[in-house]
Amino acid sequence: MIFVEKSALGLPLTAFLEREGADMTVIDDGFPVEDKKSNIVLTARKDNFVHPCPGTGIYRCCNYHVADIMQGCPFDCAYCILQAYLPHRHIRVSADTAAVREAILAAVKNGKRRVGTGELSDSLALDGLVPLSRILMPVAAETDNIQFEFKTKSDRVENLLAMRPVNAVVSWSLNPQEIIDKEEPLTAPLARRLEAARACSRHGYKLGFHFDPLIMTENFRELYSGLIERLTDSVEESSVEFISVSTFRCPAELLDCIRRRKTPSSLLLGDFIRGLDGKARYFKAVRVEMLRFVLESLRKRWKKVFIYFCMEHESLWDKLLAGDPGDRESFEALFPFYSPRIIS
Amino acid sequence: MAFSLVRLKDTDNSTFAWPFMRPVSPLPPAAVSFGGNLYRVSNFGAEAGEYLFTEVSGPFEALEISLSFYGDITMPELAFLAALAFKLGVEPESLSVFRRRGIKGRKNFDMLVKAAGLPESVLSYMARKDVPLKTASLLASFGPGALRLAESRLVSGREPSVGEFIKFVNDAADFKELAEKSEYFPGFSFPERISPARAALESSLKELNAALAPVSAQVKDFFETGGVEFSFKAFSAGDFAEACRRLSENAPLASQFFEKLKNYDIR
Repeated sequence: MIFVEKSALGLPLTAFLEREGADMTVIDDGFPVEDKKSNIVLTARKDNFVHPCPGTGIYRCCNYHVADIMQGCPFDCAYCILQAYLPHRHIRVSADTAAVREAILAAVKNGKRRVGTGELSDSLALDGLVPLSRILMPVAAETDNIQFEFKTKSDRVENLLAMRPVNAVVSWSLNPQEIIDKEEPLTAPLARRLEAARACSRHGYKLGFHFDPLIMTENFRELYSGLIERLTDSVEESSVEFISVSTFRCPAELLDCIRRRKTPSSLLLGDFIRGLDGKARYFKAVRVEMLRFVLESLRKRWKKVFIYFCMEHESLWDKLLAGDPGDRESFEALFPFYSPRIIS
Repeated sequence: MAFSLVRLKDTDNSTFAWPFMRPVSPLPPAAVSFGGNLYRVSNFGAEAGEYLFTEVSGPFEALEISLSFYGDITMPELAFLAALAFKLGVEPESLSVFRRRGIKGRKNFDMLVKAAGLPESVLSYMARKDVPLKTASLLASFGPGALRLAESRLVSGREPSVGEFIKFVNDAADFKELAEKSEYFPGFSFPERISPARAALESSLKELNAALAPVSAQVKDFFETGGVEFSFKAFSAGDFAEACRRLSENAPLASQFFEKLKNYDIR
């Protein structure tokens, strides 16, 4: 069900959806809709659309910028930070997409930047109902200073496949199907994510993959080697712009949210320490084992693709990758978008 | 608010009976009237002939008056109060006690309402001890088997400290499947989550640490940085000199210490 707050009437996204014939109900600003994931509320919010990903200086951060248009996600991943971060389960979308456009273009006015919508929501999960990709892709096409990332666990790529890819990357968070079944309710199965990725690649999109969060289980190696095999059998290395790898970590309050969930979760059975940023992380030796295994498995099949760790300690970069990437700006400069490399 | 001392009959004694296991006070109970009905709002265990009486505009005011007759409000009482507020059409967040305790948001109130249905022994423990809201809400999310296990933990053998009980409830939530089908017995515990690598490393370091005495080595930052703090206590210059001598002698042991950290990917 889509609701429109009165102050959002006439705003570009509302008008766009009206033209598309979307079924919408007008409500007073602040009206408390039933707080469930199937409810979407269009609002007139217009502040702080683009901001740096909230990393810390202690663990290495890639200076990714987040375009925060949609707040809330129809998926129900056990590890999702939104459970602790957002005070609502319904999905709130800013209808002022003209202001979003201005904010995105302002963020890249003075230099190149990687920007994406997949932090406070899934970039594509609701693209059939609220087709933000059709609004954001033309914005990305306005300047070569941007690499716009649509990050998803869905297979909703119909709108993307109807557009010409310009300055865009489509990326998928990946986990083995056994973990998807247990920890990522309502998301697309692995096979459908990979099919969607292959379709996007054939259409000319660059691809990204996020092995994040890696989750420790008794059969970790078997699960993740199977996943990597399926990925590398599905798409060509040359179409992949980047791969991020990182182990599960979370603030303590998220552990309480996971505990309150009805279904049991492997996330709670890990050997955690309190990281230097205060978040729970797997014990370092366990992280090294997980990261090393995934890296080596990927490298056996894909020799050149750019692989990075999301929010990991410099010592793990030294140990497993090409050395400490340094501060946000130095790290960011390693991405192919900034330093293009030819991959044969 | 002005009260008058009056004799009342046909007072509704159940609607506002949210307090949990309160001793009877020598004061007369309080009663309020709204919508043409009389309600007792305090001192439910007392025999009553006379009441401290006042008129109120509705259930919100009645609840505030009821609250004003009690001091500290326990966790079960907060739960009963939240449930009652919803039942009477009062937004719990508007009640002063929740504002003071910083409890807000629909999710928290829904959890409190669920907690109101916990077994008597659990509520009684929570009333006597300072159990945090998040532990109450975890208990409220448990299936019948896990709840029975938590209840057994309270009533079998020595009563746990609050810290012990919080840990037990957290563990039961972490090991949901196990908790759901387990029976409690004295000495019952959930499986350890220490990884084999950590267990082996800590065991090796313990041995080395013993050999380093009187100097003690402590790995800092939860093993994240690989930094180690070497320390010793001295009560005299002689102690200090002895520790320095041992430090010098034990340099190879320190090397072994760092080597272990490296072998386990800590450095």
